[in-house]
Amino acid sequence: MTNTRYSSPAIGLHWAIAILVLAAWPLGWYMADLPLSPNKLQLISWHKWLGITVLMLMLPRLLWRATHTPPPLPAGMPNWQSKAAHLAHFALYALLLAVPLSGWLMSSAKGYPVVWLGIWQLPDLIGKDKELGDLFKEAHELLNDAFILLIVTHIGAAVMHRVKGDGILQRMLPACCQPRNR
Amino acid sequence: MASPKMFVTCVTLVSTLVGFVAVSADAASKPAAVSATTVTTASAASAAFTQVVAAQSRADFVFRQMNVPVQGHFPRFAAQLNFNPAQLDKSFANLDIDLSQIDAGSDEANAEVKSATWFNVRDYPRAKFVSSKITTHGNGKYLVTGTLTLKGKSREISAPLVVTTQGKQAVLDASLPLKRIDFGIGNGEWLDTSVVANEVQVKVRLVALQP
Repeated sequence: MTNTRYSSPAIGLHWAIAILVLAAWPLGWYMADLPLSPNKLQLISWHKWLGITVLMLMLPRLLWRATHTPPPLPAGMPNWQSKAAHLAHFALYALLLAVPLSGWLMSSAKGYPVVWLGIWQLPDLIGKDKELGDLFKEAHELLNDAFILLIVTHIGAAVMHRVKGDGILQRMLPACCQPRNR
Repeated sequence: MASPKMFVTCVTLVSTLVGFVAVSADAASKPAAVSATTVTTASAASAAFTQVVAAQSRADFVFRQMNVPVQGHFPRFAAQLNFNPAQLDKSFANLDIDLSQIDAGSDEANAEVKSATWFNVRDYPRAKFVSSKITTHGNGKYLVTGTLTLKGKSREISAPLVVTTQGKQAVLDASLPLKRIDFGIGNGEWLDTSVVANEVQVKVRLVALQP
């Protein structure tokens, strides 16, 4: 192994969180405007479980990031690109925390606690407050819009790097899935 | 915002109590300690707690959806109380809950639970509990048995009651375990109790004074 790729825990966490986010987002978008039904309540709970799981996985992920240096960017990369990459990655980390946290706050304020997987009741972050609940709902949606925008940029950049063939995408691909050429 | 509601509750309670006093005055065979104006008791300690303090009394409930506990509240209810630890055979605790004011946790839920699928508050606007028997197993612990009428169905239920007295005031905490399906609360797709549980815990706190 060389240090041109992320280590296995970092790669595992990245893809686990990616899958959870890509499941939670359409679920949240779809369920929000459904009329009240048992199905809706079920979907809301699943959405909350996914979001809280992301939040929980962010703990080891941040710990890993704080204790490891990511593989270096290619030497020839323009300064603005590396700056933009750092900024985007910082924002992605921030939103990976802020989106589920705002959802948790929204749940607490609306008086519907989070019971992770239906077994573990998380403490309420704030007391029941209708106005705050509406506010956190807005915040959850706005933060999510920003998050989607960044994810699209993130994926776009990954594709661009793959087309350029500078090895950036391969840094985050598990050993099993490395492209054969290059 | 809360005070007009509180006022209405007070008025309801006072009128209920007045009504009750009138009824019990007719029942001359029962010399129950009802109110200071009708009965003088030998000592304060043996007087019944009859005057419900509306502002400190509450009726709440908890139900679970996807195992998430959701708090609900009945802002308007009337209570008729005659609680005397020394005369349990003459004691009773009756409730009359205004279901049209039910707060099931959110605007969306409130609109839903008033519908015919749930409480059908248009046809059944009130829930009533009439106690038939209060027994004790010591240390301020009691069991109230009575008939609950909800959505046109009557069932006998027993509720644990914990009473703490201090001077002329008593706090009565009753916990009524209900099964919503027994009363036809939540029909159709909501009969699936894996989403909204069958068990609903109604918690009533009455603060009452001796006359």
